[in-house]
Amino acid sequence: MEKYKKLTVSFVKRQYYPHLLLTLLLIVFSGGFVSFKALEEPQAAKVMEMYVTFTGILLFTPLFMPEQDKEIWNLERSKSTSMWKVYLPRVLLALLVCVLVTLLFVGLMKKGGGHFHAGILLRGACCEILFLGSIGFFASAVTNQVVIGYMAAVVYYAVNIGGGKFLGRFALFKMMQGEYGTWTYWLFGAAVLLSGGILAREKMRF
Amino acid sequence: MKIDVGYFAKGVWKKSEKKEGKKAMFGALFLKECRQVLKSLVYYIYVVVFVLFINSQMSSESVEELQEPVPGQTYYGETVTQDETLIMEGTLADLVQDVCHNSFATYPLGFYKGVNLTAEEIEQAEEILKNCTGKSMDELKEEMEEHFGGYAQNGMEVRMEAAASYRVPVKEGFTYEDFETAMEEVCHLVGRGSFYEKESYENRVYVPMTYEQAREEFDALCTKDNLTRAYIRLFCDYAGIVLAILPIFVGVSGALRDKRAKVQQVMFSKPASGALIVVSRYLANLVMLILPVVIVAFLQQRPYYDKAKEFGVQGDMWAFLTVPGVWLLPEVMIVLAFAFLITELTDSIAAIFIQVAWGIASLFGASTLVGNFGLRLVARWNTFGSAELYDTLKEELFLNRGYYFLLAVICVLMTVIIYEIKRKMGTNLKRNHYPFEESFGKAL
Repeated sequence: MEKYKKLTVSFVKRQYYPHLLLTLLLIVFSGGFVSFKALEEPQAAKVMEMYVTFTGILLFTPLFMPEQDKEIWNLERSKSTSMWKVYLPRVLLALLVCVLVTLLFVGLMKKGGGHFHAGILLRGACCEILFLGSIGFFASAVTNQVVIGYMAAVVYYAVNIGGGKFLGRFALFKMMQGEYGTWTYWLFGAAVLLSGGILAREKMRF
Repeated sequence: MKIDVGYFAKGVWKKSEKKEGKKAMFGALFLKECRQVLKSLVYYIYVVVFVLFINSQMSSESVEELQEPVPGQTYYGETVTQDETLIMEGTLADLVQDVCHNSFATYPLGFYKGVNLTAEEIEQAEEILKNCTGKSMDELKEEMEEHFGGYAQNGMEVRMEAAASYRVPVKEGFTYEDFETAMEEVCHLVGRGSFYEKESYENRVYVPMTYEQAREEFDALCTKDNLTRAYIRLFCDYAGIVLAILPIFVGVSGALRDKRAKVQQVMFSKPASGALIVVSRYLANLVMLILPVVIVAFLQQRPYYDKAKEFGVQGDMWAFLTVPGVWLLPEVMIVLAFAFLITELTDSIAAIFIQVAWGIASLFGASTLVGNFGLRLVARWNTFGSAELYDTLKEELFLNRGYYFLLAVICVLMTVIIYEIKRKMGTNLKRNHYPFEESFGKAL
């Protein structure tokens, strides 16, 4: 346990902290971009889906950053510790931050006098953020390039603005249209992409 | 003349030979960088996304639908009005709807921000409406429902027409100055960046065109824009959206290539100057990014070039080069130069976050989809034609694009300076180099 804690702390200290700071900036400056006052259900969903979803891109895409360096990558492969054990704590950390950020926004909107079901919005937003983040995670896992990870996630987000109909059940921004049932698809998609990404790292050689 | 660039490094050449050598070295580096871009997966993703985006957006513009206006048509399109009465009536109609739904669109920092007012603020907004129209909110609501009720059974297009034709008249003796003061009060309630700011409401009330206006517009389309220029301006509008963001990924990926391949030190030891390396890399990336834009523009322009002939007009064959050259080239230049500068400075992907935020802010911050260029990175022109309006705004566009062109040159120069400093230091600009592998190795 101590070993994984050390590995994760080292990852945060050396690579991950700028992304956590960016997430913090996203929260600090949120007042300039979104309103928290007297939001109805679709408006609250809009805040979560159009703004807070960016945290998914920020938190999950850079989880393989250290291994972009081939020396670290080879070093990890040469050790007896399974690689998924190195990656899983990172994913859990990102997930924890993601849930905390979502909770914070739901809380701020409730405090502003919002009229929406907090639990349902929280569940949907967490799954959606996780799904969008897992797209970046998977893309950076299979290409070993975090830039491609960001590109894939940003492009997926952009495609949903005008072309959500082509993405079926996996389209984003469904809650602001009043559809709250797609969270299972997002969760399923995220599970497949996250495990697929980790599996790819285990099997692939760059 | 074949030149061995190795001699150049040893300083055995004469001045003229040095010049030739530099040219040859630049050419060699440029081609090498082009090949590197072609090997990059990020580049192919850029090309695919660009082509798909343009095709999906431009497919709604059908060349077949382009017809000469004839008298007696029921609809000729719409145009922005400068009539003060119509501006007041149109803006108040928007305000009635926003107050009814308690939902106000604002763009305080360039991004969309939906604002909801408290019960007390809504009452104040209703009071403002009463002062402008002389009617209570209940009366206004009733009139609004009556107006839209007549269109309720029809499709989306008709509902849009209903919204466009909805007007709320002002009370007798109410002047434009009174209206401006009332809108300032609304802005105070709603916050910055709403449609009730003077700059916004004076450019967003549309009225249906008459036959004469439509005829004038069509003639300008043929004589001033030669048809193809108008179409390529619309192409530039859509392309500009993608090009504000996507090139950053190619730029960052290209600028980090040496670091990823761990050849920074090797590159620093090469005889080529920092300027030669950075500028050749920058220009290679720029050319490769612009190439698909020009090819797609050319292919998109072809049906309009043929259509121009049907109207007896000689289309501008070079519009696919000249219009994007002014409209899109400076945009790609600054995005790429910014990517190079920030990446060289930080040795990180920080440029992605800054540029994505900048691109989205510029896109969502536009108060109108036609014109209002200011210093916006994404210059919007979401209309086919409007040659007269374009003529009046041309200077503003040139200033905007000239500004970004110069800024891009400055960014590239700064990148060269940073590259040279790093070369002298022999490493990156960070004082602390973390032996990450060591800490990882120990932990594992």
